[in-house]
Amino acid sequence: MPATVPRAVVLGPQPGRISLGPGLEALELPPGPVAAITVGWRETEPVLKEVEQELGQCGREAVPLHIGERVGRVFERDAPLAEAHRALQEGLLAEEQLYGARLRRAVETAREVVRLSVAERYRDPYAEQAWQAILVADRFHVERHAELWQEFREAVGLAERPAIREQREELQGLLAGAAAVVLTGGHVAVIRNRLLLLGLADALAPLPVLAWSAGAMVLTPRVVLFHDRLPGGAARPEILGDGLSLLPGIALFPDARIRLDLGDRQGLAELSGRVDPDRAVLLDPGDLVYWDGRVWSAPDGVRLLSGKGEVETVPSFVPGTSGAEPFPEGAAT
Amino acid sequence: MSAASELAIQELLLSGPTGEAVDAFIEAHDFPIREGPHTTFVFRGEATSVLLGHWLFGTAAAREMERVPDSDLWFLTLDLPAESRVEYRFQRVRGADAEWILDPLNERTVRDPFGVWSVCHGEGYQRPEWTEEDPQVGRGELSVTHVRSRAFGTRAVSVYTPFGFRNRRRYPLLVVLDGEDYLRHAACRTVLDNLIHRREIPPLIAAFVTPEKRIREYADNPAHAEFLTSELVSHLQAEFPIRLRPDDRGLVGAGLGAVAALTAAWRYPGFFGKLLLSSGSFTFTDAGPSTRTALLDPVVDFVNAYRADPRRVSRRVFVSCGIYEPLIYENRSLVPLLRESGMEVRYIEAPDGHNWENWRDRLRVGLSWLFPGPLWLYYR
Repeated sequence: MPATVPRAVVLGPQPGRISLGPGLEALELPPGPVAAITVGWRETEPVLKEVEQELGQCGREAVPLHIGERVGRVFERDAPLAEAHRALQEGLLAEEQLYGARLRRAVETAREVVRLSVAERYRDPYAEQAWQAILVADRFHVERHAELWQEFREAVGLAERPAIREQREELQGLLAGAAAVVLTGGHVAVIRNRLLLLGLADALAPLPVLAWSAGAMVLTPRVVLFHDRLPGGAARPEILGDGLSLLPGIALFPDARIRLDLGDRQGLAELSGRVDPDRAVLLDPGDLVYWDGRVWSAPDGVRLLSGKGEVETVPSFVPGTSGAEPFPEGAAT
Repeated sequence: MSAASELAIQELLLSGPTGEAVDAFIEAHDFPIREGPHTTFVFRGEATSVLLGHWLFGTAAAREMERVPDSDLWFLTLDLPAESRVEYRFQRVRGADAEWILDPLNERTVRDPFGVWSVCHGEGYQRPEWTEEDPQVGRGELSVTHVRSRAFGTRAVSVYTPFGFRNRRRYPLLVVLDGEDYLRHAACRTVLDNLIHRREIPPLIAAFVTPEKRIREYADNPAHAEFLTSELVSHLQAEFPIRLRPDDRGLVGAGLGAVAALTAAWRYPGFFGKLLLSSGSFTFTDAGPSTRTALLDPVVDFVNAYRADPRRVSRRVFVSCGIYEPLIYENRSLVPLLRESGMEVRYIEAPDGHNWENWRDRLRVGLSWLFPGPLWLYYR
């Protein structure tokens, strides 16, 4: 158990049956129901049922927020908003394609420069330029993505639309009565999109959080998409956009052993550098990571990517600091 | 296995085999015998001679097997690259009679439109698990719709709708030529179920179209191209919630079906945003005469024309071919031309032949490249 009661627990991926017991126990929650956000999964998938059962076994009532259905009702009631949201999605898709094209060239160039057999004193200035081009592409995309959302919000007067206000107020009421909120994994873009649409960041902020995979990723400052083992070939990691920043100082990489090529030091170093100053945290099934409002920690250590592309395990670290707090002598890593 | 002399069949030969030794040899092994890269095919029975008939291009189509002295045991050892799949039969010759038979010592067979074949899996080959039914995976539905065609009358088309299908959503469309064969011999329905379940491709609607006169329809027939692009797709769009962008429309074909797909795309450039061409019969004669049947002359004319003037006819093209196929040369020749035209092309070769299981085994990489699913957006 952590030294101080955590405000949030990030779980590793849940490949089989969902297990919430250890995370809930660590949160030491006051009595009360637990709100559940499962919008990342298809309606045909039994995730909500499993969450309800698991919470029930821990003596907690689940309050499903039914975010997907609520957004469906918003769009049914407010057709102009639905149309504007559809147009936003088209814009975001176009932005993603443009960013992808730019990023592809930038990454290829950076790799090619590093591969050239020339003396470091000649190569390094070019390597630095190539690296900056990747960072510029990421930064510009994040800005453009945020601008498109902002244009959408302003154009439709999102916060003031009755259909949105009604759902938001109901959700704020449900969250205010909850002892904590659970966010499951699933489709990270869908979760992020729905939370942004309903403007739930403020309502979620005061609550203890139990989240994993996609549900936790959207709460970090920046959501990074990655998969080195897609059947059609590895994909370049891309930034989806800003997250809600309720879990500060980290970027999450769930299922790291499956989804990341942990032998590709250069690729991992790039990944680490692209999320800097946040730390790249690797998660696999069974992991638990605690956030106490000041420090990230984990019972078996937090696995981080170093700037050199190595996986290092530290007992804890403070966001915004490059160094991690070292393990005490003799501690297992 | 370091040397062929250490092979099981060589040990048997060195032992001066008796009838009992041959019985024990048969009892002790699975056939064909795989020993590292060496594969020994074995037949036991009375015969004047025995030949191994296979589809390994570049070697004789039928190779004579050797008799173990003073026995009714015949063998032939071949070196097969890792992960190979070879379909074969034995030809048993008895006096003036010759018959093609399956390997009695090998239960593994495959059925294709031309019959049943024995199958040899080289070292490392395993049937991909995503080609097999999984009880945990929701199954899509197959229904039949009837499409009226000016040239071909009314055609029955099998339509796949994915598990969890909703009428209010819109889906990409995949048109699969030789559709019944893809369903029967390439497990296409199961493959779609599994790849959608794994999110490697998005939920999509697939139309399985089967020709009546295959060569006539598939050999660069303008009426067939019109049927696909106009009559079929219009009908499907009226009946099913299908996305309208070319990028959400794919056309799949194998062998002559791949020719039909490319010719349809050539006649209606940009209509299908994605093409999957497996082992296409892209015969050409601009570099010398072809030995193929005159029925394929329209194909030759088309390929010659395409080689002279390669055009961008789609956005993404996935091409695959087996290295044991005679068509490997034609497919390798086509790929640079497709790329030159400005299309995104992915080409892969497999240690396999011109057969449905080869095309089945390439579906995952092909479909997931053409229609990437949301897998990389899912974090469980």
